[in-house]
Amino acid sequence: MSSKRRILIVDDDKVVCHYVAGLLQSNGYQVMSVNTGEEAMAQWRSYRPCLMLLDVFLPDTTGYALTRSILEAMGEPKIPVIFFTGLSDEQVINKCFDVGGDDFLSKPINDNELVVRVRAAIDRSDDYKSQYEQRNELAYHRDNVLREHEIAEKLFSNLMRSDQLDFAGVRYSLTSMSIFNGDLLLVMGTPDGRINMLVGDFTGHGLSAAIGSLPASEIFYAMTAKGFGIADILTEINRRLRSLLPVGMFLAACGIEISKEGSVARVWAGAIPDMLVRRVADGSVERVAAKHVAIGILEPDEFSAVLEIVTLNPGDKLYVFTDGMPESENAAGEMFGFHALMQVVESTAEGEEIFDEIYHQLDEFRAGHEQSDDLTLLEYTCLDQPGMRLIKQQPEQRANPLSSIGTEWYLRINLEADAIRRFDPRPVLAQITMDIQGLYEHRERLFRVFEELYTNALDYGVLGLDAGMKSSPDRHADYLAEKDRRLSALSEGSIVIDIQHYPVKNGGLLNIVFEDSGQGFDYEAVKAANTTTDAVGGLGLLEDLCEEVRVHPPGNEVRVSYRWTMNSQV
Amino acid sequence: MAINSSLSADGKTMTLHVNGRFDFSCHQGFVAAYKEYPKGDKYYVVDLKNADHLDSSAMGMLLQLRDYSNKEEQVKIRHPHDGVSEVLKIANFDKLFTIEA
Repeated sequence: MSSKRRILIVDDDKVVCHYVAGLLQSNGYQVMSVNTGEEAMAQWRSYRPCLMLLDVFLPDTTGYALTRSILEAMGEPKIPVIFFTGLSDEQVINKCFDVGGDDFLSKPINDNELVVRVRAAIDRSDDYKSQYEQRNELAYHRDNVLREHEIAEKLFSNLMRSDQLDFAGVRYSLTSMSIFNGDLLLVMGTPDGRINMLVGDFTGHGLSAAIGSLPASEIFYAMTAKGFGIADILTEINRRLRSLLPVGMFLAACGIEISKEGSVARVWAGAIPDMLVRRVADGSVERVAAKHVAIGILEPDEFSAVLEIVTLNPGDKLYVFTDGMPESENAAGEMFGFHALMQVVESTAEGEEIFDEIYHQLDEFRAGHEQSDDLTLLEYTCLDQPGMRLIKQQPEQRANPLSSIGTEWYLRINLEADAIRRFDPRPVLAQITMDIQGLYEHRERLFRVFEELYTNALDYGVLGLDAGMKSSPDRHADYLAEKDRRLSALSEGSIVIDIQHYPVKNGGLLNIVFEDSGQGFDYEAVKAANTTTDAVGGLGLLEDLCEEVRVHPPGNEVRVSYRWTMNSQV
Repeated sequence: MAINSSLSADGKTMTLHVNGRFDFSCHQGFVAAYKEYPKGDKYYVVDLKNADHLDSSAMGMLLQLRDYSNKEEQVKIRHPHDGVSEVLKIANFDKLFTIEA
């Protein structure tokens, strides 16, 4: 865009005008000359000069007054103004600059000097103009970013269901750096009383991090409500984020599933600082390192959901935090450090709150220095009386009155080894039963029934595990490890599930049959083993929940009847 | 934050040398360097001998490079030290890259 630069000359001396105009034109400028202030006022707006050259003394006004008027009317960005004057009086010179002039030239005018000064003034003005525009653009963008952050904050506050977070034994804190928190913390219970927890740290801050939180939390809540465990949930979150997020963005995270009794934690951790476990027995602190890559990087078939098992005794505490905590800086640029964090967990005395102490020490270390990253901490304490955990009731879905009317239906699922290895049918079974029949109030009990039946069929039947191993807490971890081993090696076996529903007066009857390809088991022996401990419900639970339980010898076929009546309470 | 690149004698591998802080300020230079050749064409080596810091945007850049490179061989990361190798270890990047001391 090389249009010639336009210069406006204001001088009542026509000879000077003519001479200067000629000089500037031969140097590539376009020039307009006027002889009075009035003419200048009339012309400048339409001519739009890049620079003005004017004499201090004009017939109808002064160069000063004219400059002041024009520059004021022009607003930003201003144009450069160069004065001619025959006088080199200091007062005159000062006045030139006072009114906004950029330079002055004494008459008689030196050719070379004029051209050089004009060129320099225009260059300076160009610089100023681009800086001015950039500043405006920057302010505009900054305002946009602030607005986006506000939106993100609102989004996020809708996301985290704080009504789900009140579990006894769970303590958490999220203090964010910018308005929107790049960290994620989700806690929710399954229908059968397990707790799923997810602590995560998305790449980026603000809105770009918010984008990932949406699918991640939706998946977490929906699947937990259906009874899925943390492995399945993380696999699904990885699938979604991998397809959604651009390459290079990911979620560093720690997912934990706490068993019903509260004594076994299954852990998945990727790209996050080590989890800490403080043992009440001797006050020692163990580190559980993240073994996986962050979520959202690997393809679905490469993603590994292998969980680590951590057994807990009542009083033991787990700590999960994102990197904002160990990387917290003080004014000198030193980081608090992972070891310092571990120190706090280790050295806090019995009876003192480690959780509070961590924040206290961090505050002291930072000594008022501004927080540069989100601080997120989750503490889980294994409780003395697992049976007495408070689980907030999830808002019950209203059963469709029509579907509560007993109807007759029949469902059969046949699972072969491949399917058994890869697929957990329990959430699906419970969901189908609830969807078809609208038995939402019975969700928890039904879930437990299916779970018991499936565990028996899978663990004792198909996998041939020894129920006795579950009877003691320390062997429980071995039991789970052995189960994982046998399951991943499974090549033969089947489980057939039959569900029949009949309407009866005021309700219905569910007849459920589980048949497995195993050797069978001694039902009475298993019942005896399980009733001596609080381990996993046991067959006694089936008898409590169901109207009838029949085990057909050799033990690989179990039939139960579950009766429900309209408006029955749990 | 400066990036230098060089091609191996057989022309199949490009080595990217990162000097100073490996962070978002390197983004343009890093991407311009590896995109000199078409996607999937070259193998890549990232030399971190002179890199003293690595943040999550740098990890993002490494992942993008991994996506861009010839998939027959993993991208190599050479000579990470101190804090840099710490970060790579926590992120379990040895599962995604071949890390050579």
